Amino acid sequence: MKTTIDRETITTAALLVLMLVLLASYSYSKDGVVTLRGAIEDSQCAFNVHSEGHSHDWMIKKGVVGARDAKSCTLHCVRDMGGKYVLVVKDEVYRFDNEGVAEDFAGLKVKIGATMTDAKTQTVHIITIEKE
Amino acid sequence: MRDRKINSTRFLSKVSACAVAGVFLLASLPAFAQPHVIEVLADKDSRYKISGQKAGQVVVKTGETIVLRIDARKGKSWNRDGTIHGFTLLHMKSRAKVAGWDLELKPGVQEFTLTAPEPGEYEVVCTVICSDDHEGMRMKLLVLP
Repeated sequence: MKTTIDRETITTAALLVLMLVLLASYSYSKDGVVTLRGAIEDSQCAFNVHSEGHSHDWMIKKGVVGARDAKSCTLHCVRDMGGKYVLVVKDEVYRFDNEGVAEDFAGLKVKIGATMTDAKTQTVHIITIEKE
Repeated sequence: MRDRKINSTRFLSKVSACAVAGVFLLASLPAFAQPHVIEVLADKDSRYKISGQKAGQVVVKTGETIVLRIDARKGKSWNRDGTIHGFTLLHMKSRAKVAGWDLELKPGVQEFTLTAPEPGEYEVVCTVICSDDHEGMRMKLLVLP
């Protein structure tokens, strides 16, 4: 009787673990593509300590020429000031190894399918990108 | 005896001439040429400064090896990863980035060995919002043929 209960417990635990694994890998496809939702911004505004919420507010409040809203600020910082396009997902900032793909989505909220190319620097390779 | 003295004098003259020629030859070879060391202060007031120059401008020759020795000092703002200034080279007109010239500066002195790009006019810009005057942190780089 005792042996039967143990087997049931083990089976239940194994099923739970399997469900957890499936749940954890929900957003990943078989080839390691992860889905990320966030906004395409410039690296200057995204990484700055005084850019609250990684926003462009600071630049816009300063009245920087060419920075009127999220889109124009992003384009100005990348095209004129040597910045890079990045993806801001809440508190996380992702760099791209093919950032040119993101240019058309500057300042917009997007859904990105990407593979991680360097976990240390949070650099991803964009596979798909669409406006949210 | 006299012949021996003449021979040794001739020998010494030849050795000296070879040594002098060798020194000039080695100095003329790119591999033995001294790199162009440029000392830059990336200052807390959001300005690139070069000792002995009022306007921040650097002149180099295309293809020459450049050692950039940059002393970076923290302004009013910085990046969360500790980067306090940037040093990114852009083509003056097209604003295209120059490969390999996209540097992130941490506080203190740091050295970068780079190769001067194609001849033309370039601009160094800071890629970190370092103060209210961050947009003014620029420096001209002129590359001669």
